[in-house]
Amino acid sequence: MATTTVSMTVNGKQVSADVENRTLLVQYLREDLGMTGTHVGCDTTQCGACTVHIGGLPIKSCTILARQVEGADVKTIEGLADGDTLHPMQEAFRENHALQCGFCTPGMVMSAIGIVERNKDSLDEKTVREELEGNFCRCTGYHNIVKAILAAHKEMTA
Amino acid sequence: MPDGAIGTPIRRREDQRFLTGTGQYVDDVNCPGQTYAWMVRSSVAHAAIKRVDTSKAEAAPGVVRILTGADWAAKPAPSVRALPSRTPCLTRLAQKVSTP
Repeated sequence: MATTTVSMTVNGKQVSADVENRTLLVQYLREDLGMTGTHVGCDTTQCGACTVHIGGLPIKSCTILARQVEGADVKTIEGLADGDTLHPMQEAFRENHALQCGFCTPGMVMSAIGIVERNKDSLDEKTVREELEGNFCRCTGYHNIVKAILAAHKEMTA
Repeated sequence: MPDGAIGTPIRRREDQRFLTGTGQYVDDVNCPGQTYAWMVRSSVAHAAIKRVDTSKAEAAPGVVRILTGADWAAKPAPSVRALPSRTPCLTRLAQKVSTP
């Protein structure tokens, strides 16, 4: 099985590993770097539990090869908080009880930050629900997730 | 319960690790030397098992152990108190296979 050395920046740190060419970014993060915050929830690119930021854009890491991300700037859920201080989106999820089992949460938070950044001027419930279509949640019914995102939007655009 | 607790939103303790990606879901667990179990289910809806032959599977590379209904019958797991003891269908219809 052919391998490649893949290097990138993850949460501000330069990392490098020798991986099989077929290695997905999500496998690289979880297995080679041991960062298991990014989850695998489906095999079909539907659920969004694997969402990370690549160059600031939310991308489903299960559907991109690690070697396609060579040299890029990757941010995962583990890189959001600043020490003990949570990112406003994380804080909003906590305040608004936007998680139960928490499995979809890392992907939700990463996608939600993208939603806020794309809609800086104004954000309404309808837009949040539409732009959240790529993230599934089985526990909450989405209601509090939407509330949390709208609340975070206020915080982040203040 | 302390006064005023009823009706007050209470912060959950587990949210901290779920929100920061440090929750240890089963697939996140990574112990040295860990093995992986696969459940092999019956390919038919209803049948009587005449014979279980695990020899080919046991010879496959990477296989640590194969468990069948016979192993279960020999050493049944204790039943949970207050729940009726359930003999799993394993003895009749399915096999359990472990691989590293």
